[in-house]
Amino acid sequence: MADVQVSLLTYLYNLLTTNTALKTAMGGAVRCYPVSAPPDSAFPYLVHRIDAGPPGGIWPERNSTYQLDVWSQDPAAHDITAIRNRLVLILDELVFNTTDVKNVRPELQTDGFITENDVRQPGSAMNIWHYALQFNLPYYRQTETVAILAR
Amino acid sequence: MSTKQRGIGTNTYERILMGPGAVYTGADQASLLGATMGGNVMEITRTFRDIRPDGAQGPVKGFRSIEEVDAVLTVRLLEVTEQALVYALAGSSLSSNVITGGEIANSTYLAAVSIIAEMTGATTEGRGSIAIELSNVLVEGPMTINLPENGETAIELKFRAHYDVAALTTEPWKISFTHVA
Repeated sequence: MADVQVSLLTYLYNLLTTNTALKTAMGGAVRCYPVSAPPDSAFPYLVHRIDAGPPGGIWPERNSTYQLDVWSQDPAAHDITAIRNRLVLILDELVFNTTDVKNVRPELQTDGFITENDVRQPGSAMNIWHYALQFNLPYYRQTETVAILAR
Repeated sequence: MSTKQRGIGTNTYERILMGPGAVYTGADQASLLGATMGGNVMEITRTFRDIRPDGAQGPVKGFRSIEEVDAVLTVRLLEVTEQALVYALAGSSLSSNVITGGEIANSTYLAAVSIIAEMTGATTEGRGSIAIELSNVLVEGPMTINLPENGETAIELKFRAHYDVAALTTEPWKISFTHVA
């Protein structure tokens, strides 16, 4: 039995890093990090995390948020918008199960460029861009539920 | 085991109906009706005769029989097509993009109208479903188009099933499961 967060992030990591079209959009390899990226990570890369929300209709269901950040370095933000496009096509309205989590349904809610307060200003000489996508991520925590029922 | 289960079991996740469903016309879900808004409602109302012999203090086993069956699917259609409006105005016909009224003939009845509702989690990345099909269907009631000052509108259609005169004991509906765990 894996933790819900581990199960979800592992599935999403594998989904994103093996997608051929996304690999192409990201220059041949999909770098995806949980929560935050290591210092000096090579561009472009993804950072993802899940914020678990309140229960849904019944207690095993949770309404959570999947936060996916794209960082890219290119002169005109063409690369990052191409990456954004691939991510939406992969994730939005997907339905998937893992061993531990069932009925997972990412739904795109908001997305847009983020203005950074440090040197990473969009359009600056560094040409570093940050794009954030937020998905609703309802799911049913199956193995936790079975364990709770059996305790 | 805890008493706080509230009916939830190890397979509950596979047996939850989700979403508004999709509405089809024709046998074997031949044609998708279109996008809906605000959800769809399927009602199969089976009224039982309640015979109360003297001395009975309530309904009596063996003294109930079916009196009436009424199956209605209410759809709030967002996607408006000529064909959908012909369905909405039973007996009407379409010619050169113009719809005009007419009598109800046997050919007016839709052979079948179905709603397919998604059932979750049956297989990995798969979706089970429940299909509820009505037979010999007419849309009843007024066709009302509310055009708001702002925003989109949905047209409500009430599809009502009818018995076949050649099979008066066969109720004009059926429910089919797929992917049942």
